[in-house]
Amino acid sequence: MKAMRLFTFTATATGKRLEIKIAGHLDEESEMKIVQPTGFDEIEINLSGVRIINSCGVRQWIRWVGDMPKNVRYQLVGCPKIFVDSANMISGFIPKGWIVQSVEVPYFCESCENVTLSRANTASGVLETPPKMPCSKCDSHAELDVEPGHYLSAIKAAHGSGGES
Amino acid sequence: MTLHLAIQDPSLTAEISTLAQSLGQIGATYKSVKDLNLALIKEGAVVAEVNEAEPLPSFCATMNSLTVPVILVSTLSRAQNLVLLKSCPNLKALCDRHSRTLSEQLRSALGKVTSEKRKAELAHWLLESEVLNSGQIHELLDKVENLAKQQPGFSNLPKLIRTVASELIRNLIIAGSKSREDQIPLNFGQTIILNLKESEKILFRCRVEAPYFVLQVSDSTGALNYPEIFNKLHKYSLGTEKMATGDDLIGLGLYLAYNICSELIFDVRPGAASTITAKVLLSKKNRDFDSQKTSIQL
Repeated sequence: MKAMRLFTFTATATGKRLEIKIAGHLDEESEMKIVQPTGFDEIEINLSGVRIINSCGVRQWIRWVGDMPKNVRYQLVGCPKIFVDSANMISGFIPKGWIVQSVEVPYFCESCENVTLSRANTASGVLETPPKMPCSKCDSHAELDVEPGHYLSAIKAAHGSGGES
Repeated sequence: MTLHLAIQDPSLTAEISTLAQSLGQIGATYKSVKDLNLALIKEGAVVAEVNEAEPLPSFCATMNSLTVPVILVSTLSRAQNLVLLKSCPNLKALCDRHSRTLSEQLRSALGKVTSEKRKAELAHWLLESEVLNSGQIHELLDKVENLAKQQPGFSNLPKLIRTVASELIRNLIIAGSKSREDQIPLNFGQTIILNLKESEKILFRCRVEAPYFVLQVSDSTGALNYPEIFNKLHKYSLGTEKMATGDDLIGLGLYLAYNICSELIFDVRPGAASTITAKVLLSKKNRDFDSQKTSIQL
C-alpha cells in the first residue's frame, strides 16, 4: 500500500520536447517540480499513474499549471477517471488550450459486475471509444459506464469546443 | 548557519546581539548558546534557521548539544529535513521552506502576532502540542479505503470514499485550528499539528448503512464553525456554477466531498460540538453514481 501511495514526478527532455510522468497520490506530500521555461515547444504530461487526488493535490496542481511556461503546446495523456472527475468539478482545472489526448474509461459488465478499464482518445473532443466492449473477466458485453457528454465537459472546455457550463 | 532568534523578548535584544556576535560560526561554539537560551526558555523556545551552507552532521551535533527544544526553519531538501528530524531528538518542529504554501502560512500566522510575548506563548504551545503525523492519517485512510473495497461498488469508489474521509479530517483540523484563538494553522513539513485540550476529542467513524458508506467526524471542542463554507456549498448546491481555479478555493475539501456524496449533514452547535456526516452511495455503476444529486442538511 505504501508503494502505491508514493508520489513520483519524472521529467525527460528530448530536444524541444519534455515528457513528464506523474504517478501516485497527488496530495499534501507530493512535490510538483517547477519546469523552467527553457525552449520547449511541447510538453506531454502522462497522468496514467495518478491514483488519488485530494484537495491539497488539487491546489498543488492548480499552482503548478499556473507556473508552467507559456507558449508551449501541452498534451495530457492517460488521464485517470479521478483526474477527469476533478476537472469536471473545478472549472479551469485543465487550462484552456491544453489538449487532453486520452482518458481512462470504465466499462461495466451486468453479467459479472466487473469493471473493465480502457483508454479512449479525446484529442478531437469526442470520446473515441465503442459503447460496448468484451468484459475482461467473463467476456460478456460490458457497457460504457460514463455519460460521454458529462465526462468530456471539462476537456471540451479546455479544448475550446464548448463543454463546461 | 546563523542562529536566528525569531522569538525573543525585546529587552533581551542587546544581550542576544552581543552573544550572537561572540558565537561567530556556529559549529564548535554552539554549546554556549545554552547560556543564551536560559533567558529564552522562560519564553518558550529557540527558533533556529538552517540552510545549505551548514554541514548536516555538525548541525545535528549542535542541535543535540542543546538542552532546549528547537523549532527549525529549514531551506534544506525534504530528504535532508527528514534526516534532521530523525537525528535530532530535541527538534520539536520543522518548517520546510521548500513547501511554499506552508511556510507562507507559518510566516503569515506568526507575522500577525504583534506581541513578542504572545509569539513566545504560541511557540510554547507548538512544543507542547501532541503531534499527529500525516503518516498516521494515511494509515487511517488506508483502513477506510480497504473497508470500502470490501463493499459492492464500482472500482473507483473506494478511492472516492478515501477522498471524502481525507477531506473531512483535514477540514476539521484546519477549520478547528483557524477558529481558535489559541491555535494557528501550521504544517511543518509532513506533519500536521493539532492542539487539543485533555477533555477534547475528535472522533472519526465509518460504517456501512446500505446503500451508503457513511463517514462521520465529530469533535467535542465546540471550536468548529463553517459559515463561509456553508455559504459556498449552499451556493454551489443551488446553481450550476462550479468552483473555479481563480477562486480563493476556501472550502475546496468539503466542495469535493459534496460532489462525491449523496448526503452531507452538518450538525454544528457553536461552542459545544459539531458533527459532519457524509453518505456515499455504494453504487455498482459509475453512471448511477454520477447522475445522483447531493443533498445538504444543516
